[in-house]
Amino acid sequence: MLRFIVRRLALLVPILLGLSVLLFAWVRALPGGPAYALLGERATPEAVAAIESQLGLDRPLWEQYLQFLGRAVRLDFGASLQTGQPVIEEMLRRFPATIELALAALLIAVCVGIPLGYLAARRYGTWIDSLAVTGSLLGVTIPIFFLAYILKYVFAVELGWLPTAGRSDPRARADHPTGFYVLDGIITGNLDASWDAIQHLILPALALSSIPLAVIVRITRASVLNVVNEDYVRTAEAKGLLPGTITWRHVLKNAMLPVTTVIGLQLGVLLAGAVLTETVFAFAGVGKFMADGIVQRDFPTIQGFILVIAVVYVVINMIVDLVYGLLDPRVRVS
Amino acid sequence: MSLLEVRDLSVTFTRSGQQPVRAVDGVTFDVAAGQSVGIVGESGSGKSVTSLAVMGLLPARGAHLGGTVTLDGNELTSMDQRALRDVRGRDVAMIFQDPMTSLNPVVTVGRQLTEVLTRHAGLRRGEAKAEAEQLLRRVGIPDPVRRLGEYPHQLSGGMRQRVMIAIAIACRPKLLIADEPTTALDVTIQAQILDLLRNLVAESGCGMIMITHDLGVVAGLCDTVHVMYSGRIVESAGTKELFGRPSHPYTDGLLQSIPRIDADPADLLHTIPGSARDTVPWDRGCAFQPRCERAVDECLAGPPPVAELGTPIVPHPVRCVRPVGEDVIVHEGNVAR
Repeated sequence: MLRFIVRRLALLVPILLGLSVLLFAWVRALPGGPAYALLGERATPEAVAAIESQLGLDRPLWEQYLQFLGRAVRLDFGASLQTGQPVIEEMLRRFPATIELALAALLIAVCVGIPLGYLAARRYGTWIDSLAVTGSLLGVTIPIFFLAYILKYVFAVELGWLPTAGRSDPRARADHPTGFYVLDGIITGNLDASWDAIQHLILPALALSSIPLAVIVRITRASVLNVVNEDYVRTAEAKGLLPGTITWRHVLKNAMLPVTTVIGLQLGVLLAGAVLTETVFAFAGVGKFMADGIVQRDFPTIQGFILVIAVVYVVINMIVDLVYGLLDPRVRVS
Repeated sequence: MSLLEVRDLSVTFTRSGQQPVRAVDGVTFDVAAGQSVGIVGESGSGKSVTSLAVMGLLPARGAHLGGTVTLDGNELTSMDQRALRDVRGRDVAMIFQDPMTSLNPVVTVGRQLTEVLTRHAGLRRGEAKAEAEQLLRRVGIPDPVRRLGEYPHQLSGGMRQRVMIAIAIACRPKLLIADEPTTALDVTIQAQILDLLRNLVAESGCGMIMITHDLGVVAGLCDTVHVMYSGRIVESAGTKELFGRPSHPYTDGLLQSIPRIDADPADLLHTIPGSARDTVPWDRGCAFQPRCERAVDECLAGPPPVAELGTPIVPHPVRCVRPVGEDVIVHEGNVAR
């Protein structure tokens, strides 16, 4: 097990190296470049040259790359052009919000998606199945910003059950030692703050969960349909085992293998892609910061965001593979 | 009364928008305790469906069952699923064809063995584990303690089938059904597995149904043989009698198709012409008629009658109007000789 983890972590090195080359090349290939972004389109060649010299852009490419790499290794992506603060600090401040939102969305998707997918497979061809399939198609196709506004309009504006935006009630006073507001409330003994944070999470999490929910329903359904026709399920029935044992030990344990992979991938997508949801609900996470960064050509932010998200992706994938190894002994050995 | 009595068993599969398919049609046979009964036939002859019907393992939707299956006095076809689950694995157990796919890849061998013991024999975890160890030893698996903690992919094919057999005999069933248990194995392993099955039946005194397309398996293992074709039993006899005097043209063709080591190498291998798809519905005539070398007009004059070529004590019924070795045309009620 330990060797497996070490090997996977070692794989991170070439992946990140390759990614840094791509990212470096991509940023250099952008038209204009940072000098024009800083000075505007009508900058004089002398001013551009001065800035480029100041930023080290007149050095050979390999030297620039090494410098970029040397800084990136120390998590130094430069200062954000939006705020003037180091990019890494800006991101660290906002990451808890995004993680909280992504986990909440994933929780909804998993808790609803797996039972629904299982039910659809066991009631294959009935109205329950059709409903699940159609519903998941709708979940994938409906644009998140549209769904987000609908949810906001119905539950926040019309019914007034939930808050419309933000992460907490601005009038409430609460300490935030970790930045995870739900957790913070529990740590500081301020359960009202936790409850307030949960209420603020519900609508954005619902909106954000639509795609992963739909994907999980579909994968679970397809996977269960495959597994129930396997010989070993027939063996389990031939043994006269109770339906509960067959479902958990023989069907779900096998059917969850592909679902695990999908859940991991979806978590990566959620962490990187909460941009629209965070914007609609004015949820101050990294997605919103990144969206603003793109609009304002904030290159250091974009670079930092992409590298960090890439690391997150790779680490999540590694965790998925570890969980996979726990579930599937065949992977563990090879 | 026999251990297992199958009477007029029929299975029809229906699918919406398609013609119903009668996979098993009026099958009747007995299995006595300690007896091994072979059911022989090619793919699609209904032999596996027969075994699944006995186990009550046919899908609830789309499969329609007729006739009765009585195990030790209990009628199985009318039992509800809850009662059937108590019978399966305890009174009747099954060994499947491919041990690779029939064992759960993500559950240890030990757990797959103990779960049937805790379910039916009322053993607790620890007791079941000790019993499982004994079972593995009994089916000839060395180092059982280590094997209990392993997964199916860590075992060889023969070893896996031994595990399947251990699972099947775990609760000392009265009836063992083996559905082509050696088909997926190497020839040398096949012989070992058959030896094991023969010894287990002899020791435990349980009845066994051996489903196979391999007449060699039947010859070495079974007391009685039923030959199935297109969902019906076409010939039944004691193993010696069947091999010595095959009377249905289909049985005869199967036996002649076995390559002989003393045959002239220049001779072509004997085959039965056509395929199992060339068939006639039984109510219009003999299903084997299109492929039969002895076919006459009477073959298509309605369901073929059953000719009794044996004696009341040693029966040898054949569903044929012109059995091999008889020159008489058999009509209903007119039994040859």
